[in-house]
Amino acid sequence: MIPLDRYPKEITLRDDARMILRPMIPEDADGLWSFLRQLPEIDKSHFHEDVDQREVVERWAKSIDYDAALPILAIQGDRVLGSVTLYRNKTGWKQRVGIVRILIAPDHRHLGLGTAMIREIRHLGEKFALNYLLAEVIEEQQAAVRALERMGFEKTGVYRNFVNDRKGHLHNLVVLLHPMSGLEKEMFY
Amino acid sequence: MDATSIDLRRAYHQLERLLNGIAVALETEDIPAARLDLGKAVEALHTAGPGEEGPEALRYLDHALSYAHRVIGDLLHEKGLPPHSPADFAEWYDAGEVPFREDW
Repeated sequence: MIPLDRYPKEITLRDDARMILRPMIPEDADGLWSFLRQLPEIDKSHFHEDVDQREVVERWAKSIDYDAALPILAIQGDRVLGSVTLYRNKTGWKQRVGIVRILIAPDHRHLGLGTAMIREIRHLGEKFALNYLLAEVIEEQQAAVRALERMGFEKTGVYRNFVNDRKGHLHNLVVLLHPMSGLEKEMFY
Repeated sequence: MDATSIDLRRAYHQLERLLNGIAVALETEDIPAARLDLGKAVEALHTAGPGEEGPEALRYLDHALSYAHRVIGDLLHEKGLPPHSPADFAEWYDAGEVPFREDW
């Protein structure tokens, strides 16, 4: 069962700005489109599809499947300011590993929104009884790496020239893992 | 290291009181990640020990405080309140600058 009863959830940033966190719904297509357009190029590197195409975003919004990917948006008025998505496998050997992707609007960085999104995804990871959260970040995104580490993610590897951005330039990939509370109870070695 | 044994003992007991207070606040909250961090904070505090001295004790006290800050952050987040920011308490630090800040 997906633990969505905590939404909409109000949060307050360091500058006292208030916003709500809630799962994305199909009607968020416009807001998500505007949000993605303001992101710097490097933040869009991980997408498998061209998010500069509006029809791609509209298709995402129509095909939301919370069991596979649960996107939580930070919304102020009608503006999307951030998103954190928890990707899960329903079956298979990685079904207890959740993959995390976080995006923050450039004009709302350094206010604690990224950290709030990490707190939220840790909470969801615990509620889904995951054993690990996994985050992959391009090494240049140092603020994100530091925030993840401060929230309990451990850097497990840096892969040199491992990923390419949308222009084909290579970047180092930082992989971080967050062990969840249920893990210790299950370990058998 | 500038901290004396009295400083360390005082810090230990202050942290112990802080963690006890946090534990009470957490009792009524459903925040598993925070409970895990509180457990780590208590473990670090016990490792530091009430009468221990030296850089190792100081390091574990620092770990306990870091975990405690994370739990406080979770509690504030759950209540919809602004995050705790160490920079707000800069005037109380005797270090040249606050060693950590909100980055993201």
